[in-house]
Amino acid sequence: MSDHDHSHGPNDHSHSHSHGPGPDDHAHSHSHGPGDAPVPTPEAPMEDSSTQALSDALKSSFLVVRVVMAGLIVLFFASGIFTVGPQEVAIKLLFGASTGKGEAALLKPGLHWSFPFPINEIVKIPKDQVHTVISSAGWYPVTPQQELAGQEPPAGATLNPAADGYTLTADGNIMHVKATLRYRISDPEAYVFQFAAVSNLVQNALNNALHHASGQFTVDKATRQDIAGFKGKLMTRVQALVTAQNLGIEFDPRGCDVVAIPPRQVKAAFDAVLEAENDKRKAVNTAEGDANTTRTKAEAEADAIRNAGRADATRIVQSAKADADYFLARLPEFTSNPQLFRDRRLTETMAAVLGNAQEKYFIVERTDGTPRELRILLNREPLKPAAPKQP
Amino acid sequence: MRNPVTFVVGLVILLIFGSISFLFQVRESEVAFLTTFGKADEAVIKPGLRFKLPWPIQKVHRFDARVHNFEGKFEEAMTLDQRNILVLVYVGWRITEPQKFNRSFPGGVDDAKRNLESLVRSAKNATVGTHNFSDFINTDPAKLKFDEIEKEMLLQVAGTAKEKFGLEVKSLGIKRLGFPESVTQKVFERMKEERQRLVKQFEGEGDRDATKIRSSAERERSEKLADAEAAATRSRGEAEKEAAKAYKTLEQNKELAVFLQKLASMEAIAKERTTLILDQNSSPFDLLRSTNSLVRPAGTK
Repeated sequence: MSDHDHSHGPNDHSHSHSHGPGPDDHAHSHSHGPGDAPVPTPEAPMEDSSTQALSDALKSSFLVVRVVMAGLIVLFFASGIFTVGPQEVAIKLLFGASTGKGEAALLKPGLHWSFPFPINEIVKIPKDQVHTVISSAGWYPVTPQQELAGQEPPAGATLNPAADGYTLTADGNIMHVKATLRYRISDPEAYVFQFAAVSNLVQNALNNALHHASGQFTVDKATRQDIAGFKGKLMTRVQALVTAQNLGIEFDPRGCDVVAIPPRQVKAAFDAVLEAENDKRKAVNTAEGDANTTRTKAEAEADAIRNAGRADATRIVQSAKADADYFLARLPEFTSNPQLFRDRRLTETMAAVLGNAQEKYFIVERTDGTPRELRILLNREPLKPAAPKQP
Repeated sequence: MRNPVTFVVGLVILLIFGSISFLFQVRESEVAFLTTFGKADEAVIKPGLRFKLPWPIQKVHRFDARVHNFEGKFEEAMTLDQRNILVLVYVGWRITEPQKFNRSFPGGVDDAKRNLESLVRSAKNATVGTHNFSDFINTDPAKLKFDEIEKEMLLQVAGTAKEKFGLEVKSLGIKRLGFPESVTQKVFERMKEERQRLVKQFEGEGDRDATKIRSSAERERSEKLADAEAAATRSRGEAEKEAAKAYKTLEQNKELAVFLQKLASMEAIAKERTTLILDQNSSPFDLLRSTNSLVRPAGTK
């Protein structure tokens, strides 16, 4: 707007200029004005003196006119001075047409001069300013008051197409999506001269992308499992549309927000799924813990078995060797007198055995030589290891 | 020519009036054309300073040449598979042939928008009618025909708009897709059912996975134990083989070997909690027999 004011300023000036004859006439009448006062006196006799006075008056008024005109000219040219703000660029039009192409046509921030309006026109564009556009087709209506208070309107049983925004997901479900795009102007010329309102087209590109991306994602993927993928798809689509339509803007997808949620009408059901999924994860985690314990224990048991095997092996070999050694040691003694050796060893062993035995019964042969009958009563129950000795 | 200033001023005034009558500007964002005595010239005038004959002869008609955003109505359309869906389409349009535009819409832009709306509606209905609902939404991106649908609509709209209205429709896109209000409730019910199914599925999966994990651990355990047993048996076997070599020595005197073995066995067997019942023939109690026999001579033997 300020830019328009500028251009109008000079316009008005030029008008006063073009009315050049106006001031001229005025000057005349003016000169008559002051002339009127002295005229009555010299009108009749002194023609010379009145002409003289008139010419003097004319001269002085011409001088005034000249000064005024010179002032106007100076004003006219001075009105072409303008500044370009720090976040802006400006484009200078010559008789309405752009004076250059691309970067060369852009006036950078600072003080500049141009011819006033009908010749040059200055269009300022807030190039570095960040513009924000929010999608308008995917969310339920929230009034600004509710948004400020962090409240939500109550959810009805259905979604009214006239008021409620939503998207359709790939699995035929409904969800709400809101995207916020922050962009800068990258091609100021296209931005101002090619489009009536870029923000409308950007918003619709965003709206289009909401539906395009939603149409490929299931509600679970978009709202939970693959949020980043969904955002990526959406942003790719926006970028493609912006490029295809040459909207003259650029944006960083990382600076943009995408929110996708299931409809509030089915929120409880979605929460139940989340809970079930958590339970599942918990059950699996517990099982994994148990499995780890089992594995660790198994490792230990296996080691024990292996070690026992090894110990047995050592024992077997050692005892065989010991037996063999013992045998070799006794052999000469045995060969020299087998009977003696036998008796001696047997007796020794018997002594040891008898010494160890808890109960010893000695049955003496009957005097008549007939065998004795011996009856042994064994407990039906097996003997307990620590039980007191049975008689 | 008394005063050169008057002359210059007059000249300037003349110049200004002349330029106002004979020249005109077309701004960068505009297109224009001239009419000569009301008859339109063919040429479309581009931005810049242009020449024309003064007013009663030629007149300039200017139009905004920038792309405008236009949105149709969010209305029902029937897909090929007889599903009612709501589609809202937006277009980006601009005036490229101002003469044609002026002729078609003497009422101006509002007039044009009304015509554009019906044009967009018929293109939308025609295109939606040739596509299944699955072309609009599909889990398989390859089967999604979103772009094709938009392209088809654009082709129809752009052709007519250019030919009849002098407009270029630069872009066309679907802004909104939806179900009729009554259908949304059914969708919610279906979504709830789906969720319940998912809950059951997760519960089942939890049990199944847990069992799977536990049983696989058990299996690993028994494998490990079996391996260990095998290894232990193997080492025992090797030890036996080794021992057998040692026992070869015993063959030098079998009698002694057997005797020693017997002794060892006896010692081992009768180690603890043993009850021994012996008769007098067992050594060393055979000594007692001799005492017995010493007594006996009084008896039978």
